[in-house]
Amino acid sequence: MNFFDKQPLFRIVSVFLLIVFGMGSRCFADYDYINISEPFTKKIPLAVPVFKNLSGAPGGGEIAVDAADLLGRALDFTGYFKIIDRGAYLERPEQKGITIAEIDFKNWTDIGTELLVTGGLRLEGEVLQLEFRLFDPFKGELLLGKRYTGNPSDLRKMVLRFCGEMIFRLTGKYGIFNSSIAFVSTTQGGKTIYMCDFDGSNLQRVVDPESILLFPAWSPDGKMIAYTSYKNGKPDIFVKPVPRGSGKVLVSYKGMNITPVWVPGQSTMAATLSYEGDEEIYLLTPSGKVAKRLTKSWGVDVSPTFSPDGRQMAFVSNRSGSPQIYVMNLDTGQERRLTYEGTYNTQPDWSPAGDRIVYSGMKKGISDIYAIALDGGGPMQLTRGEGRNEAPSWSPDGSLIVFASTRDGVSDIYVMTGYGTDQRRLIEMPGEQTLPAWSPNIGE
Amino acid sequence: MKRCIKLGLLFAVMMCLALTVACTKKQPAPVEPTVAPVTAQDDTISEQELERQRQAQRAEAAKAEFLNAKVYFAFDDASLSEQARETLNAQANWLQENSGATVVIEGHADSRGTDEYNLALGSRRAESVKNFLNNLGIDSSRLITISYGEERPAVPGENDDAWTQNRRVEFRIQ
Repeated sequence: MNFFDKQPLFRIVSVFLLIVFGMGSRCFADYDYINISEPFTKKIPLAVPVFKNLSGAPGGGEIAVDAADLLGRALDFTGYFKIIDRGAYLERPEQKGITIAEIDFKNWTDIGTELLVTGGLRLEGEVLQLEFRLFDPFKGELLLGKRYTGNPSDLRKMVLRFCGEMIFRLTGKYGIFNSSIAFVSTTQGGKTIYMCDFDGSNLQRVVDPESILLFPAWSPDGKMIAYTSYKNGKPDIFVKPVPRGSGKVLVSYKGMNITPVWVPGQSTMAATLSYEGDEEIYLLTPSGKVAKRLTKSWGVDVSPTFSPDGRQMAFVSNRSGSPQIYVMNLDTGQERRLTYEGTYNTQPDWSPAGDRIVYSGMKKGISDIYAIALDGGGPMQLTRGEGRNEAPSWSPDGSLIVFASTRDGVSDIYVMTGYGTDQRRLIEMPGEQTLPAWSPNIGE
Repeated sequence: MKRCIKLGLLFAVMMCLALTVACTKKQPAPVEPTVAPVTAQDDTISEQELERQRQAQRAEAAKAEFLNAKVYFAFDDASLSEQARETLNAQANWLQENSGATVVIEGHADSRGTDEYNLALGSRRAESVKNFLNNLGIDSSRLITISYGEERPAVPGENDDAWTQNRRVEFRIQ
């Protein structure tokens, strides 16, 4: 690693050769079907040493470890970093010091650390103060420094706030740390809706068991969910504040009221209704009344999803004979077909980054997750050969995807990067988990 | 004359004895169950009763057959096969004979494919059946449709057998 860093030309050439060999020989077993120039293929080596207990308070030692571990896990979740094992460290900031003056950057560059975060804490009674510093050891520079004050129960909040600031510094986006995931879970007696933090923590039930529950969707401020329930004997759309509050019927036209979705940045929603005799997509007023019918084709039109600027809508239609994904310009009403490969493409979700749509494509009864760019080019297959994979939903910054997979037997919630790497299960729960929906960042 | 009188007296004494015996009896002697004489009118009542019972049984059986009937579909399809039409003809007959009944037509799909698309597919199947029955003269106000998509499989499992049986329309009385 030393040699590589001191000879940048050699480094560039060797990376180039690696790419050529990688594409030719497919030696990267995990990534052999993704575009190798994307951000998740080369993870940045990151060190997150145990924090320094600056005030020496008893109990501070435990917080010093918890805070650093939480920070490491949260950053690892993004998929951008490779967290260096603490056993490899050549110095211990929790003893030596956490500021630029106290750090010997050679101890970090020697083990290939490209980013280093040190932390310190002061615990005085019920007041906890955390400070964070992000360094580039190769440049010997401080990139970001933050200090937060709260009480010990705010530990997670403070760590995640720094994560947001750090990711913003590195990518220009605040990332995912204030977001939640809602999903349907089966239990005895029916179905429920649960929500959890982006990383699976703080799991809690938000809708009590009912016979059939489907399609949870988040409001733009992350304070409400909409969903379809058969509570009144037929599929109606309900809305409910989360995490606490009671569900109320919002849309109850004759026939089906399904796949609710909020238009980004607005209080209007769209949904699929069949009260005119045919499944079509309608724009609704905030009080759940039809404002405008958007689709006008005989056949099934279902599953609306909007571009971040709210001016385009993707949806599923079987007007060509099989379910495919179409895009409509809401200003002009013009429609174009987006998917041409495969005979069953459904469940589209438009990336909050605006450039890609993720969906599930079924071949021979097996569903996999695909992503397709809006400006053309073929679909990229993100899951392969591992059970049935459905219902993908983008993280609020468009970097990660949550989806349901039966790869371990029963349907569970999984997360992966937007290019199909780092696929892992999010939570362990009994029963079947389906139809996950990733919220916006809440309270930004 | 004397003999007649003697016989008469004997007869009278015997009658008195018989009467005495009959009148002083405290417990009735066990009596053989008698069969009431069957009149022509009784014949008609029991026959009517039996016929009513038979009719009720036939009606129950017909209703059970109506409720158990299922219409099956090909994958991703809502069109009616020859077999489906036969079944529906019978269903229409029952509905003609039971003009007070309103039926809920439930549309279902197999578990392959996605929830939302399968809800739409189930709905299409229910509508397909409703239209067919409507065309056979059943008023549409008596035909309610609902879709359960893949949410209520008849047969659990991820195999051809289960899928085939789950792509269906079922009936229930409102």
